[in-house]
Amino acid sequence: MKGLALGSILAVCTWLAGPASAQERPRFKLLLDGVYAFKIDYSESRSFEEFLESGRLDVAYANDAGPGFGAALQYDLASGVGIRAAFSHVKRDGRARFEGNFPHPLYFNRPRSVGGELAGLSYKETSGHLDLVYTARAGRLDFSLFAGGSIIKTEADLAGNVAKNEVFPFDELSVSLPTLAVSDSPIGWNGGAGLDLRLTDHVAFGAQFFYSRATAKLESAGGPTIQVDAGGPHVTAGLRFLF
Amino acid sequence: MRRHCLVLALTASAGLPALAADPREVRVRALSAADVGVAQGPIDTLVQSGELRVRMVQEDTLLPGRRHQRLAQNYRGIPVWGAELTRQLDGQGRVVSIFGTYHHPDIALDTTPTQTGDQARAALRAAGARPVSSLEPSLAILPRGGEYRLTWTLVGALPGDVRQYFVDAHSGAVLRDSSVLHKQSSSVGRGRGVLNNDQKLSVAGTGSDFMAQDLLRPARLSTFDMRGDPDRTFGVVLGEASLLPSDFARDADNNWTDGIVVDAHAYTGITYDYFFKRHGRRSWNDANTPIRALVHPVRLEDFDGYVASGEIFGDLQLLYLNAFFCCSGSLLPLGGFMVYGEGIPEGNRFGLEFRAFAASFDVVAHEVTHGMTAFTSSLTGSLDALALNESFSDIMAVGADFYLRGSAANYLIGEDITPGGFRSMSNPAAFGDADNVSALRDENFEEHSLASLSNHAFYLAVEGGTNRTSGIVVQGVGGANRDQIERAFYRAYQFMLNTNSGYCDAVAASLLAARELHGAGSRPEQALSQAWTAVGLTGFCF
Repeated sequence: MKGLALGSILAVCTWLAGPASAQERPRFKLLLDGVYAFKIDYSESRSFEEFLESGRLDVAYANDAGPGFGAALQYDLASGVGIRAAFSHVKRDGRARFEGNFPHPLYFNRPRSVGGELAGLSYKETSGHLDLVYTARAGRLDFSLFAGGSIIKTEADLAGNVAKNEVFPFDELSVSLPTLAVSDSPIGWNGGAGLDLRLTDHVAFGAQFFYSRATAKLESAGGPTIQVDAGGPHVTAGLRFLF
Repeated sequence: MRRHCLVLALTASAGLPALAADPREVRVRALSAADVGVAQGPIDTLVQSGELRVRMVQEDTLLPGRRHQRLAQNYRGIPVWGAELTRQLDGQGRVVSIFGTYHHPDIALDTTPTQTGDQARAALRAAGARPVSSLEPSLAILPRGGEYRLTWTLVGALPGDVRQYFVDAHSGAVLRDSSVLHKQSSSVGRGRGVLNNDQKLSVAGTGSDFMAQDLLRPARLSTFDMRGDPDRTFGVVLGEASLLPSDFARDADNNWTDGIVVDAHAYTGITYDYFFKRHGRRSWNDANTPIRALVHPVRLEDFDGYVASGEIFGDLQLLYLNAFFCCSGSLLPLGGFMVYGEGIPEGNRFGLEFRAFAASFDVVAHEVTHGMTAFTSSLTGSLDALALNESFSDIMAVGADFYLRGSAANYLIGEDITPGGFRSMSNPAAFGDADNVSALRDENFEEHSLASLSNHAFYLAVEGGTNRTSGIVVQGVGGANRDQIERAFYRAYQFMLNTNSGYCDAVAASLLAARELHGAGSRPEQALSQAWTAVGLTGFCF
C-alpha cells in the first residue's frame, strides 16, 4: 500500500515536471477567474453646529468579504516577460452603525443621543489593471509575478442627510439616514503572484493572490468626503486559455 | 367622450372655469347640494373605470359620521401629478362636498419610457443632486403648460435640502424640482440673563430681526417690551389697550442682550416645560392658550422722579417692586398677562436692593402658576383661598426650580432678586411667617404670609424634619421623591379645590390626592398627613 502511494506521488511529480508539449509556447493567455475580495471597513465623523451648540454623528461602515469575477488578457513579449490587461468586478454586502449627539433646541448642555444601523448597503468595485508580468515555467507549472497600475471604480451606499424626527419637549430624538449611492474612480496600483497548472497545451487552471490599492474619495451629501482604501487583498481562481 | 362631457358638466356646475393656462385642467369646488348632485354620478363612474382611484379614506375626527375620500387620477395606471379630488361623505354615503383638480381623460400620451430609471438617476447627478437610493424612480405624468409629459419622479439630496425631481422619461431633462424639506420657521437665539446666565431662547425670525415669540413649544409664549410706559402696561392688562406686533421684545441679531427680556422669555418656557413634563399640563387652560409676559413696565431711570413726586407709593410701586399675574375673575377672558417689575436702582434712598423680578426663575414660575390656577380652581374667594393660591404658586415654583437646577435649587423664594429672598418654605419664621396655626399673629393674615402653612407642610412632606412650633417630627419622602408630593399638591389644588376653598379643604384634598396617586397608607400620604399635623392643621380642621 505504501509503495502504491509513493508510486502515485512520483507519477504526479513526473507529470508536473514533464514538458506539456514540444510545440512553440503560445504568446497569448486569456484568464477567466472567480474572485474573492476581503472585507473593507471605513468610517466618517460629522461635526456640526445646531441650536448654538456642537453636535456630532459618527458612521462606521462594514462591508463583508464578497465574490466577484474577473478576466485578463496577457501577451508574452519575450523571455517570460509579458503585459496583461485585466478587469475585475466584486460586490460586497455592507451595513453601517451610527451614533451621535444632537444639541437640544431649548436647553444648553442637554445633548440627545441617537444611534442605529443601516442595513442592506452595497459596495462595489470595478477595476481595470495594466500590469507587467514575469512568468517562470517549471514543467506544467507557470509561476508569475505581476504589478502595475489600476483604476478602481468604487460605488458605495453612504449615509445621506440626517432626517430628524423630534417633537416637543424634544428630549428624545430619532433620526433616519437615507442612503445615497456615490462613486469615485481613483487610480492606484496592484501587485500579486499566480500559479498556473497547464492541463493541456491550451488550457490551464490557475490561482492568484493580488493586492490592489487606490484612494477613493466618496462625497457624502450629508457629511465630509470619505477616503476609502479601495481594493485590498483578493484571491482568484479560474481557467486559462493559451493561444 | 361621455366621460369628458361629464367632467365638463361638473366644472360648469361648480361655477369655476378651467384655468386659462391649461384648458384641460379642471378645478372643482362643489359645496352645494346641487353641485355635488351633479358631481356624484360622474365621479362614481370615473372611480369604477379606474381613472380615479381611492387613495385614502379618513374618518372625520371632528364631525362624527363623516368620511373623506381622496381620489387620485391615473392615466393608464400612471398617476397624474397633483390630480386629486377630496370627497366628503356623510353617514349615509351621500356626497357633501368635492374639492380638487382633475385633468380631462384625453391625455393621449405614450406611457412607455425610452429612458430608464437609472438614466433618470444620472440626470439627477448631472443636476448636482444625489439620488436617494432608498427610493426607486417611479413614473408619473406631469401636467406642464397644457401638455403632459411622461416623467420619472425621484428624490435627490443636496447640501441643506432634499428635493423631488421630475425627469423627462424620453429626453432625460429635469422638468421640475421642488423642495420636500419642511423647515422650522422658528429660530433659537442666545441671550445672557440679568445674572449673566446663558439662556437659549426660542424666538421667531421676521426676516429683518427676531422677536420674542416661542414657536417651538406647543403654546405661543411671548414676551413684550412695554418700553417703560406704565399707563400702557396697565391698559394692556386691563383690556383697555391692545398689544401690537411692535410691542414684541426684539433683537437684531438673535444674540439677545436685554437680560430682563432674556430671563422672562427663557424662564416662561422652562416653566411651561416643567408643567408639561411633570403634570401633563399644556399651558394655562390645558389647551395651549398663549402665555404673555410684559417686561419693562417702567424705566429704572424714572424711579427717582416718581419718588420725588410721590407717585411711587401708588400703583407704580407694583411695577418696580413686584411681579404679578393679571387677572383672574371677570378679566380672565382677556387671556392673562404676567408683568415683571423693573427692580430699583442701586444706591436708592431707601437702602433696598431689588433686581428686576424676571431675573428670578422661581418668581417667573410663581407667576406662570397663578395663570394655571386662574384657569382652574381660581382660589380667589377668601383669604384662605388666596393664601392657598399663593402657596400653590410657591410650591410649583420650587418644584420647577429643582427640575431646572437640581441640587442647586432651594426652598427660598426670590433670593435671586433680593438678598435672602422673600419667603422660606423650610423656615417661614425667618421672614415673620407662621410655621404653625398656633403661631399665627395678626400680621400673618395676608395671603403671602398665610401661604406659609401650606408651604411649610409641603417642605416637611418632602424633606422631613421637626416643626419648630409643634415639635412634631415628619418623615419626609426625600428630595429624590419630591415629585410625589408635587403631584399630590398639583392634583388637589388644580382639580379639587375651587374659588372659596379653605385650608381644611386643602388638607383633605391633598391627602385624597396623595392616597389616590400613591396608594392608601403610602409613604407620600403618610408624609403629607404628618406634615399637615405638624403645622397644626389636622387638629384645627378635624
